[in-house]
Amino acid sequence: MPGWHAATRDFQEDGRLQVIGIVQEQHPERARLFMQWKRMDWPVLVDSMNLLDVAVVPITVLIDEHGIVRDVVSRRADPREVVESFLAQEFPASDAAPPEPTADTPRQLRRRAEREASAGAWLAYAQALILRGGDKSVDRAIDAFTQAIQLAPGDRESGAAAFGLGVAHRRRFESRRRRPGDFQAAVTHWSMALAIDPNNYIRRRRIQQYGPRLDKPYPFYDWVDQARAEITARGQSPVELPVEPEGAELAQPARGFDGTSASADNPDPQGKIRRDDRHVGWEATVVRDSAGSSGTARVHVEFRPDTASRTHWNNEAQGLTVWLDPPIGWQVDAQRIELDNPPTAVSDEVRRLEFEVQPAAGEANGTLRGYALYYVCEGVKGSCLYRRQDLEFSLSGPVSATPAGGTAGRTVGSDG
Amino acid sequence: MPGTVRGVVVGLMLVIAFVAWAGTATWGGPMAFMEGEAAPELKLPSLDDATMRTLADFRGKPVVLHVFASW
Repeated sequence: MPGWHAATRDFQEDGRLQVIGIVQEQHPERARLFMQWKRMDWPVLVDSMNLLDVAVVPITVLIDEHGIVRDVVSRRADPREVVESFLAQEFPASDAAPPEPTADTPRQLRRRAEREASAGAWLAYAQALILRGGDKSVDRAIDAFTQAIQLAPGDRESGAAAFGLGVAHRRRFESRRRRPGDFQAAVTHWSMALAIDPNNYIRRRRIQQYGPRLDKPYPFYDWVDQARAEITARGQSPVELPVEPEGAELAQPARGFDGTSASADNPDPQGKIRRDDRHVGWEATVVRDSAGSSGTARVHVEFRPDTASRTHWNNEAQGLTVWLDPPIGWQVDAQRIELDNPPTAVSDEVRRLEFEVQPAAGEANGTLRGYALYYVCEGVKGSCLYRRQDLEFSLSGPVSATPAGGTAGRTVGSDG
Repeated sequence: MPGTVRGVVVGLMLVIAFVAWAGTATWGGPMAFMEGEAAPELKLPSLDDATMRTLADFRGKPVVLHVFASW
């Protein structure tokens, strides 16, 4: 894109052409930061659900002043040559009137869906909710996408509904309205969409964004720190990101699995630490390799102190520690993970960690067990406790609808 | 069979074959943008202020459109 930016800047300033962008990301505000960093100042529209149904990005399209597509440009083309040649041509006005965009509001689309009871109508309603609505519309969008899928449409509509459902679940996961299992549901539905059209790299990238290093084509958001530093150095304020990229989204791709299966330093080998029965809930999301070839998975785990009992972390003791016990032949990238405590004496934030696991050769699925150890206190002057909670992560294929998770005393595993 | 009837039958078979092929064809390229056809008229929110816009809003000048992601 920098090549195109340089090639078109003069013509845009002269008013001879207009550069427009359409961004296809789960988090479009990250594209705003990118544009600010590269000093690109042209209008951008957001297509997080890939309504355009492009299979790959980036693509550059030349459209004449009458709205007719004249070229879809190869990556190998020289931007300057292409633009000059494009501007030198004269294109006739089209005889056919271009289609008018639908002016239906979400409410009108809902009525149409209820009247027609067709997958296409429910899909259109769901997509309109995501495009126009805020966080509150996400619940209804999820229901509408689900309706569309249940009407068993053809591949095109199923794929669009599954992908949209993934976008909606992930969006809700990042909002205050999140429900248990939202992140896993996002991954499951993106995987369904990819299975319907394996050549669609927008769908593949959405999974790889959160997936294992072996499956990454490149690091997704490792440019963010540099962008912020350079923007700040220019005396500007970097665009704020409502959701920070983390973990998998920053990780570098890898060619091999750098793992361990050694059993050393088990902090509680005989299980003597008392099991937690109510203080901390946990949830895990398993993201498998999108191609299914290596079987590697990236596991995202969250720990939440129980709000009803006003449980909070005790940061004056050792940080939350997870110990993993891979089955024979399996590997994990770290067997013991210890989180750093924040600087305050107590806190009640959600604690997150990620790790990668590779099943044994020839075994695609199975269960990885482990446990977490943590120091928590109950209430303002309540007792402080050191507790263990057993964890179980199920690697199942092709897609797992139920996430692993539990609240102390009750472990829910994903189905194999 | 008589020439005319054979012609009709062959024509029908071609139509049926085409419909069957078109129905099962996979898509993998940017089908949204076909040379010589109007650009798609999707209403999408603007990145800056979330107002709904379409590509038609920019008609009147040649457009270079980048479909991209920041990763």
